[in-house]
Amino acid sequence: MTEKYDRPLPRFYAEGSRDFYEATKRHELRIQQCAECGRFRFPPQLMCPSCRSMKSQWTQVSGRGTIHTFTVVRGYEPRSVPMFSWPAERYPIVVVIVELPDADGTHIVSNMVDCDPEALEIGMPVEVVFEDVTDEITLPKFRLVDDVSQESA
Amino acid sequence: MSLSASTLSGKAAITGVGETSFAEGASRNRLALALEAIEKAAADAGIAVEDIDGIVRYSIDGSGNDQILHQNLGMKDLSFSVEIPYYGGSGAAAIGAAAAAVSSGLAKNVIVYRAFTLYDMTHFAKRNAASVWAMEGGVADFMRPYGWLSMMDTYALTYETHRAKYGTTTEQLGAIAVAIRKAANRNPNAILRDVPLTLEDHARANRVSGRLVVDDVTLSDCEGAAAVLVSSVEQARDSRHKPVVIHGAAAGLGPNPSLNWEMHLFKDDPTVSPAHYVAPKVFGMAGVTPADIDVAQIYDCATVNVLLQLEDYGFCAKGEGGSFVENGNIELGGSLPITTSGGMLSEASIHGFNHVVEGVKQIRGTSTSQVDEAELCLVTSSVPTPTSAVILGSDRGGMS
Repeated sequence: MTEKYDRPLPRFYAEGSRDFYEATKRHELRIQQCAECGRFRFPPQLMCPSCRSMKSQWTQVSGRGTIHTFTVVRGYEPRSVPMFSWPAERYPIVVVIVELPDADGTHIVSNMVDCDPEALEIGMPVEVVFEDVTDEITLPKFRLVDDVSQESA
Repeated sequence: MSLSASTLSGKAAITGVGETSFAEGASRNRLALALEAIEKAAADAGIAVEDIDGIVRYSIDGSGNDQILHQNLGMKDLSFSVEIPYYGGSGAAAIGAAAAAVSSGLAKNVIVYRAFTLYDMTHFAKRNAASVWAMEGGVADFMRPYGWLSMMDTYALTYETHRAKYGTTTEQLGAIAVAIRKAANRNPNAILRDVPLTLEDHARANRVSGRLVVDDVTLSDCEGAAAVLVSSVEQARDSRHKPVVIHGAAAGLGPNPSLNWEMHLFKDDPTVSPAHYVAPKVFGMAGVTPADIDVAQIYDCATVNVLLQLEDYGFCAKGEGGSFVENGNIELGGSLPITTSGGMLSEASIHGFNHVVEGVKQIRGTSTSQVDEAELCLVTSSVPTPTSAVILGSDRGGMS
């Protein structure tokens, strides 16, 4: 963290975002779960869409999952309709949507780290790692799990 | 034909259309664009501007509100005004709302319009009620910090799921881009009218996000406006144009999780768009099937979204969109010519209202890519937002 972090940070606009990032700061991945019917949900929201309970809890999950989909972002052009843009040296980055089997298959958005972007495929097993990007914010990222450790898990 | 007594089917018609010229870049006043399109639509319908008594507009449109339009246009008695909050999914829903107003007696001459400038997307969207999801729904907190920054990233993420599940190739996306560009090359009002595109060009282009190239996504930074006038079918029969009857209209998000726009990727299966749920409603109201449709104006913010809609509206089975678009099948002369103005990929990006105008032209027989004897045209609005569709067609003499 010697360099100033210059990418977008969570703004804590959304319901539950403080709960989520307080957990990641402790290097825990927690997903909102209905306290009545047990349904997991992400992004977090006030009411459970299954049973309409307003009671929820933040349940720690293993951080193991699979790649639901991903894109290797190699840059941007005006026609890619950027809402923001980063300096060219920030690319490529891999945006990944991870499916979490121990949270009812809930999807969360993250980045793949320590991987060959061109070798990624949907369905590959991944696990969470935590990146302390500022003194305040820790982002959950994901890396590939090799098949051997996945089988022994 | 459907038993239409209890629906709006066959009771309202589009009697006038108006368009400004389209351009990339920002130079014109967005209210001036709206006023120009509205005046042209009224003139085309043969209606005095002051006799417009209804306005339907989209969200994320900074051109003004009903009072500003009323004041500028000198309307006599504005009786009905609503805003459809579906962003790019609003166009067909706006036509449906106008038809509902006309067929229920709330108004007689309803203008539906979309004015679009760069300002609408970069500034006005942030202050619009329809954009609350972007902040409160978690876009800023759970997506942007990971570099998911552009619309193209969303489409690339969607395409990858379809590719993995059904083997859909980038060459098949290219066939969509090429078909729509060919239509633009015939349309003198299209921004890319003079820019040809081949399958080879598409295959050779740089992949910007995932496997997508710039020609897989909409033109951006466009400005322009389009408007149509909706009146009763009886009034349409007395007008100077061939009546363009609204036979079916529907809108919706589908069942939970009803997350919209970028957040659809949190759903279990992003290869199914809300169009899957709108399709039976719009075809059911019109009393027709996909096989009856002669030409379709498919909302084309991205090639992959065209593919999803062709499947979800039932022109082919789920997963078969890739083979459906090959070999010129969606071009003039194919089984289903689509997006015959050049759409958002090649005519102009104005949140899909050019698609509505083009649908009217096809039924009138005045398109620059005219389909022979076009009797029924499906017009769709954006997926994966809340989406909507209308079926426009010839007058069936009160039997629709």
